[in-house]
Order: sequence, then structure tokens, then C-alpha cells
Amino acid sequence: MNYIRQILYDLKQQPLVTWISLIGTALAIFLIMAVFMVNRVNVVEVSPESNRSRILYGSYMDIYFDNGSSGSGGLTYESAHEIYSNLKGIEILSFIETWNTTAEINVPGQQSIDIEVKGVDANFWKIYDFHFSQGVPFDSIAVDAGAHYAVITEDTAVRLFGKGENVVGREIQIDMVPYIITGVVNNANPLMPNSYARVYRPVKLKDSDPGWIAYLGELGTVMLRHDNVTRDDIAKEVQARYAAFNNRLQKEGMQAMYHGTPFDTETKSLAFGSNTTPDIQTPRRQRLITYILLLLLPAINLSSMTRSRMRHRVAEIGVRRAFGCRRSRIVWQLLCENFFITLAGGIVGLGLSMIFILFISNYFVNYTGDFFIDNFDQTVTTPTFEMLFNWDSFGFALLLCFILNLLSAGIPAWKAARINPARALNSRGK
Amino acid sequence: MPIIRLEGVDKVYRTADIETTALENVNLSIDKGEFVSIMGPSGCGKSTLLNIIGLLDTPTRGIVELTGRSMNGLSDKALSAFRNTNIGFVFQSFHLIPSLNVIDNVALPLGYRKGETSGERRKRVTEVLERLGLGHRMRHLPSQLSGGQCQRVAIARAIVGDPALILADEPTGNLDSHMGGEVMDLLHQLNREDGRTIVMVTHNEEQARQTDRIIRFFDGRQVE
Ligand SMILES: Nc1ncnc2c1ncn2[C@@H]1O[C@H](COP(=O)(O)OP(=O)(O)OP(=O)(O)O)[C@@H](O)[C@H]1O
Ligand SMILES: [Mg+2]
Repeated sequence: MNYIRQILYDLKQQPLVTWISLIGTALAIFLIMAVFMVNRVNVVEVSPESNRSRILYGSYMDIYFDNGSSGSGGLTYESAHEIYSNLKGIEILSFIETWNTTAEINVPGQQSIDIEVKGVDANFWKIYDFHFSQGVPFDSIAVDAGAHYAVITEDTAVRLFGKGENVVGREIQIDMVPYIITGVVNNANPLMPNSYARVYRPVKLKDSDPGWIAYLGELGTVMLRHDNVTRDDIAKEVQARYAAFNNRLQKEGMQAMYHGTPFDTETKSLAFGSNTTPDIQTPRRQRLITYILLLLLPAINLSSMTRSRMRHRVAEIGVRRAFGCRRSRIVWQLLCENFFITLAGGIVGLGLSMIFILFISNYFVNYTGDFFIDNFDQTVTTPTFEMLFNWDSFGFALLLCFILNLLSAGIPAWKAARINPARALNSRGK
Repeated sequence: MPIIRLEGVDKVYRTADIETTALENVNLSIDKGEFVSIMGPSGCGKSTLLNIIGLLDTPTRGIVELTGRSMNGLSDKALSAFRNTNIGFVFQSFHLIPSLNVIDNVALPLGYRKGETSGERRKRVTEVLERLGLGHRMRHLPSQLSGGQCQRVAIARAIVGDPALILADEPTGNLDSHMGGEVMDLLHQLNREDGRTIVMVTHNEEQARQTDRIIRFFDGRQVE
């Protein structure tokens, strides 16, 4: 209570310095939170990827030949099956197309548009929690039979059929081939590229087209691990599978490179090629350094503001000391008071960063949408509020406020508390 | 047993190039219940002496004993606790905390001790304020009070923790003679009725003569 009263008093007595402190804090928190939330998009757990902490990927195959050449890409059903089927730690395994394809899609008799299509199996719908606004997903019988069924996103339904139409059971053509719509989902997002597409159809498994090497194909796997096993446990299992796989490949003059699969979502987002081992340590370190710099630089500036605000209170500190307040308690009081300013600035900064991210993502997606992929839909490609407003963001912002407060007020408070009380009392007005 | 005893106290202020001897070989003994005035020309070390007695500053040399205990070398924690329970300060420029109202200013010393509920504290504060005739000003900020009222609030703060010793550095220095007289009456009352020991620095001969004893300083040395 008295802390807040003190801040209001400061605002009245030293408006400039106090406002600058507030705004400086807001800017510092804003910058860090913007960086944080952009990175967070790769980790945050929201529908349809609410299970991210348990979702794992085995998407690529990287093969070396004894003659020195090599090839890499997705998996075939055979290689995917051999390496990722029936792992002990895995609850659900799904086969999907590793890369989306762009297909010409139209309602019979109407103009076609280019839309991203993903081939998925029935387990795909169990690992990802899509919300069906209409109909249902296709099941494993349909997938095995190679049925021409499709699940489409809400915005695709609107573009093809118009608003408010019931489209389940209606026909669309994908590259001139007729498909029947079984369901409509309302929440695919390109910021979650693993689950994203606009049209989903049953993946071809058995007769999936083998590439120029028998073990390289178009497929990838998505797995949901059991709660009680770690990713590392499963990685050991997979590594053993690779060893067995390679025993066979050796006879054919080949070797499959193991790159540390299965990947979690964050690692997968850093897997820039099918033949590399993603490095998550370097980006993490870079992020940490960014955070430290973004905290330290404003903290130095804020520190001088804090010192200036505290200079006006030297006499008060002397009085408190005279009446029995210990040094440590002075430090604590000054830190607490300052924390409320930091917190106020932090709330403003957090709000700014959210507005900023929603704004720039709109802008960029519009830009690419206009010039490159003319079927991008901006309303669905922006991060959702769910992605930004979550406890992680709030918790991190609060932690930042704590640290920033310590950095900017710690030393001034400590120094203020160490002033000889007699001298502090003598400082009135000076 | 004296409540204050100084023995061979020196205080030397050292700055980059000058050394000022503010006190030199001060030997002093003040008994419990005494009302003592300290007089002397400006700069002779009166405030320095009061600060050393009040444990706000440490002597360069010499022994400081309060209530029979040596205060030399005590920790910040111990010194703070001792000030809190045993000493009340009154300053020339009042030194009320401008952001706090009268109640909170007076309650200040009670916030630094344990074992009292906020209800008990509030009762204490109200009692003291009413005794000093400030019952109707409890919600005011210092800036809304006259100088005399401010000094009475400061005196309330000095006695709310029931200390045996009150140190007052020119308590009437910023007041006109009428308000100064009121403050002096109050101090005499606290001395007589509560038996509190008071050490007061003053430039006013008449005020000094009304006290039990006058100690005179000149150039850091006790001359009488
Ligand atoms: N912090 C300090 N640093 C250096 N010198 C100081 C300091 N405080 C006091 N002095 C010096 O010590 C001497 C005594 O000062 P002190 O304040 O005790 O005098 P005083 O008797 O209270 O004077 P006044 O009647 O004007 O209040 C003075 O010469 C003063 O300049
Ligand atoms: Mg003085």
C-alpha cells in the first residue's frame, strides 16, 4: 500500500524521471517479449498442437553410398515402418507426407485455386487436436482403401463454397480428381507447419512412389510418446533400429546416417535439411545473449534514473535509519517500491509486444500473400491470441521485471542504505 | 548509573584534503531523568556529539556507553534495534516523511519492531497524537501542517516507541518564539511526567537556563 503511495508521490514530485523510468522499463520489456514470443511460437502448446510436449517427429532419411555419393529426403513406407513402428515408448504413430503439395482445387464446374494439400493417415487426427466444425475425419479403413475423402479447413470451405454452407458430403476436385468432403476443421495455422495444410486427404502408404533410392520417399512420421518415457529413451530405441537397418543396408553398399531423431517440435523447427543434425544449443545461447543484452543495456540507463529518484529521499532514509530501520530493510523497501514501477512498465511493455507481433505478422503475411502465394489467408496465418496470451508469456515477463528491477535498483538501493545516517539527515534539500 | 557516558571521544572528519576535528577528548556523563542543554557557537560540534550519542555516527576514538552498555563495535542490526527501543529523535527541520500522513509518520518507529499487532500500534499512535493535541490532524500530510504542528508530530514520533532518551537538535530552531515555547513546554512535560532523559542542543540561553544542566562547547571541546 505504502509502496504505491510512494510511487504516486514520486510521479507528482519528480514526474519526468519517474515517467522516463516507466517508459524505459516498458520499452525494455517490450523488446525482449517481442523476441520471446516470436520464438515461443515454435514451442507454445495450442490447438491443434496442444500435445507438443509429447509430439515427436521422424521425418527424414539420409543415405550414403560406398562410392561416395549420397542422397537424402523423406522416408518410404518401408523405411519409416522399419525404423519407427512399434517403438516401446510410442503411444500413437502416424504416417504423413513430409512436405505439403500445392494442388489445383475446385468445385466441379468452377474455377480452380491453388491450395496446400497434405496426405495424412487416420492417426494424424488423434495426435493433433483439430476442432471439427463440421463432419468427422476419415478413418483408417478409408486410408487403407485409398478412399478419395478430404478434410478441409474452414477458410477453404468459405473460399470454395461461400459462407455458412454445410459442405460435408460435397465434392471437390483435387488436380481434376474428385474427392468427397468428410469434415471441416477450423484451426490449421501456417505458424505450425507440421500440422498445417488447407486440405487433408488420405496418404498413400503401400504404393507410395519410391524415389531414385528405394529407401527415400515422401513420407514422414509423427509420434505421440507415452507420458512416462523421455524423448532420449526413444532416441536410444531409434538409434538401435538404425543399427539393425544399417546391417542390412551395408550389404547393398549403403549406410543411413542417424541424426538424433525423433525430434521434438523445437528441434524439428531447426532441422533445415534432411541430411543435417539440428543444433538447438546455438540458437538457445544466442537467444540468451540477446535477452541479457536487451536487459542489461536498459538496466544501466534505468539505474541512473533510479539513483536520481533515490537522491531525493536521502533524508527520509536517514530518518528511517534513526528510528531503527536496518540497512537490509531499506534495501528491501527501495526494491519493493521500484518493483511496482517496473511492474507497471512491464505490463505496458507486454501489451505493446503483443500488439506489435499481431501487427507485424499481419503485415508480413499480407505481403507474401499478395506477391508470392496468392492463396494465403491472413486471418488464419497470424498468431492467435491463444499463442500470445498464455501463462508462459506472463511468467516470463514477470521474471524479466524481477531481474530488471534488481539490475536497475539493486546497486542504487544498496548504496542508499549504506549512507551514514548522520550524513543522510544532514542532506535535507541538498 | 548514568544513562549516557562518553569517555575520551574524538571525532575527526576526513575529506580528500582536509581534516576537521569536530570533537576532541569529550568526557561526559548524563544521568537518567536529566534534561540537559548543549550550547556553543556554530560549528563547535554540538550536532556531531548528538549524532554520536544517538548512534547515528561512530566516534573516531573513545568509548560510548548507553544504559550502561558499551556501544562500540555493535552491528548495524544491534545498533538499529537499540535506537528503535531506546532513543527518540527530534530535528530542527522536523524531517517528517512527506509522502506519509501524520498517522503513518508517527507509526514509523513501531514498524521496525516485532510483536505488536497493527491494532495495538494504531491505538498507541492515536493515544500519543491526542495527548499532543493532534487528534484532529491525523490524516493530514506534513505539507498541510504548520511548522509548530510538524514539530509536535515529530515529537509524537519520537515518543511513540516509549524511549528512555530523547535527543533534540535545535528543536525550536525553525519555529517562531510562540511555537518554540509550546514545544519547550512539551519537552519539559515529557521530562517531568514520563521521566524521560532529554539532551537538547539550543542557541537560546533562556531555554537552556530552564533545563537541569548546561554543557558548553567551544571548538570541539567541552568548556563547562
Ligand atoms: N560530514 C562532515 N564532513 C566533514 N566535516 C563535517 C561533517 N559534519 C560536520 N563537519 C564539521 O564538523 C564541525 C562540527 O559540526 P557540527 O555540525 O557538529 O556543528 P554544530 O555545533 O552542530 O553547528 P551548528 O550550530 O551550526 O549546527 C564543523 O566544523 C563542521 O564543518
Ligand atoms: Mg548542529
